[in-house]
Amino acid sequence: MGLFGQLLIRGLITGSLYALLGVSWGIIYNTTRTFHFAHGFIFTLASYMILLFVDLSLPLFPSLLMGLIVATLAGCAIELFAYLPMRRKNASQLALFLTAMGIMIAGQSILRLLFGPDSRPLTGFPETVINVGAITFTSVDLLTVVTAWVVMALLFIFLARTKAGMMIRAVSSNPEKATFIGIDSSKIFILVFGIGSLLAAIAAFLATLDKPATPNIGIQALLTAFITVFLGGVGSLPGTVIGGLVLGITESLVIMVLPTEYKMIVTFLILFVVILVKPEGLMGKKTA
Amino acid sequence: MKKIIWACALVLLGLTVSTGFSADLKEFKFGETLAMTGSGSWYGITMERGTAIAVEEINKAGGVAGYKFSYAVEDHKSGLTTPAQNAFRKFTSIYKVSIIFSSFSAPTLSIMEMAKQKKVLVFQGGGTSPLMVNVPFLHNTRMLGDEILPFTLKYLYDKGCRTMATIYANQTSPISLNQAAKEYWKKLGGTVVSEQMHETGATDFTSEASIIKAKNPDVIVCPSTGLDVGYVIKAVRKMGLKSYICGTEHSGDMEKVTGLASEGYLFASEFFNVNSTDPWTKGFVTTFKKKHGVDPDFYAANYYELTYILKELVTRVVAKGGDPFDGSQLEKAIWDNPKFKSIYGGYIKFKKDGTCEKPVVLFEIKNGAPVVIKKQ
Repeated sequence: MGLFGQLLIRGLITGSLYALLGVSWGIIYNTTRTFHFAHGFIFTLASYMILLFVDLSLPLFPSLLMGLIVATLAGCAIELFAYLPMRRKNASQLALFLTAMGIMIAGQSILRLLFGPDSRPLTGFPETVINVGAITFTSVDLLTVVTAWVVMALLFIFLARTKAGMMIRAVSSNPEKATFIGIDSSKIFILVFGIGSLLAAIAAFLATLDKPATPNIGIQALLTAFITVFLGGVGSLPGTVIGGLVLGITESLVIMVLPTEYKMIVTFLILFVVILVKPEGLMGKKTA
Repeated sequence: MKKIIWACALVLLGLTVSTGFSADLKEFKFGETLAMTGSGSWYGITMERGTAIAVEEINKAGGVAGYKFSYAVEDHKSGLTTPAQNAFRKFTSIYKVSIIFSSFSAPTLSIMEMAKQKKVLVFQGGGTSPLMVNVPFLHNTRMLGDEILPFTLKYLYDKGCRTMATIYANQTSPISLNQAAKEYWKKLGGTVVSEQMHETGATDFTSEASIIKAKNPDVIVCPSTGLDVGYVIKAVRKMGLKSYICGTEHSGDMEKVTGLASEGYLFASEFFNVNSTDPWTKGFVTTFKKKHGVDPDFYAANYYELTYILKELVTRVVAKGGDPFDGSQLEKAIWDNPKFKSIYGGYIKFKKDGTCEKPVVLFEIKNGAPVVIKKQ
């Protein structure tokens, strides 16, 4: 029971970060149907910007704020200057995907050129070990879980209670009808790119507190994000949260019965089975 | 205007002089296949720095037997075999190299069949897999893992440790080292209580650390490489485990991952003393520090030393009227005298099975830096 409890808690910690990452990508994909591959670059950019401002002797939290601003603006800029003009020219989804991939690869390379390939740890937040009975976790784990859930709760409140949130939901569920009732979907698209990038930047901050940044950290984050979305169900942000938790807990518990090297195989196996049995994902809605 | 004319004249004069100098010397190019990106990029960067300093010094001193050294670096992306094989093809077909400095076990082993066919001499100063023994044309300038790991394990057994857990990457070197560690530990009389293979390049080992914690071993052996070791140490300490942790690798980059968690980490390695009074070592340490702002580690020292070994080999071959672009002649020249002056102080001696002899010591991380705690 001790080991099971420990692994379950580890799964919840990892799953919370996965859920946040999934929601950050999911809100963009659900609303714009753009396979935003460059989201991984935004994640990496946020980490490096926070580190840059810390290097410039700014305290941790003002640096975090600056990193969040830069990443959010970068996300909006990608939509404004890359995807939007392409959509206006009726570019195919494949063209958008290739553009996103190009931004991701070029962005990562630029970061590598500017900051070097070395790992860059983020310091300034005290990491202490906390023991609750037989369960062990750290102050960074606690911060990760609390931040992830508070941020996701705020997002759900925003989407449910504000006018902008309702417009996002309207565009997400039926873009044509939304345009018909006077919603400017291009503005909503920019807004969701901003929100998604902001959430990715928060996830990047939490991840970099735990592990140092390298120019390729965004790839893994992106992979996790879209597995989470497809597992939970495209179009359903609560589903994405469930998907993140399922992924995190499974990855953690599976090593009780299988060698750890099979962790990734099991992850993809679960995704495969879910897509096979329920193609719309755990909580996704069937489309006609 | 007069100033501009004078400046142009000076530049032209400089160009003439430099061209004249290089025209006297033919180019001897060699290849380096290193981890320049990925989780082990730290190794590649420091190794290349070692080579660069040696090449610069050698060329500045007039080159080697009528040749000026130059080198090309290709990236095997921290242990991938396909980029290493592509690099080999590039080196041999475009640059026509007769010698390659390689690193990491899997990429090195992956090129050895081609090296044998093309008679290209390969020196390896980073990887530690016991599989790199008795491979034609391959010579290691680093002690292999199965030679150095027992030194650490014996130390821990003598300290009263009896139970061991292992966690290792799914790569050639860590797999064979895990096997060697388990066999040696059992031979000493110890028990292996947990064994876990992990994905190379993984960053979250907290679940694995939870499993290890449940077994509460006296020693945790992690023969993985690159940043993986750092992430394992961090996860183990994060889970509150107080067991000894040992491995075969240490790097400055790893320290960035672990932070304070690396305190007490044990690893045996060749002893490169940055405070050595040997004039050659002192010169290298000073130049390296001046250029890069930090002391050189033993990886940089290995590739610096390797370049000087190459210098000696080329000199030997040319002195006999041979062709240094023939790898088999360079290989043969090793056995004229297998002892070469070492940057570690004293000599490095090559053995016929591809291994070498160097003094080994046991390090422990104290206050973020490796401290010698036992000499062999």
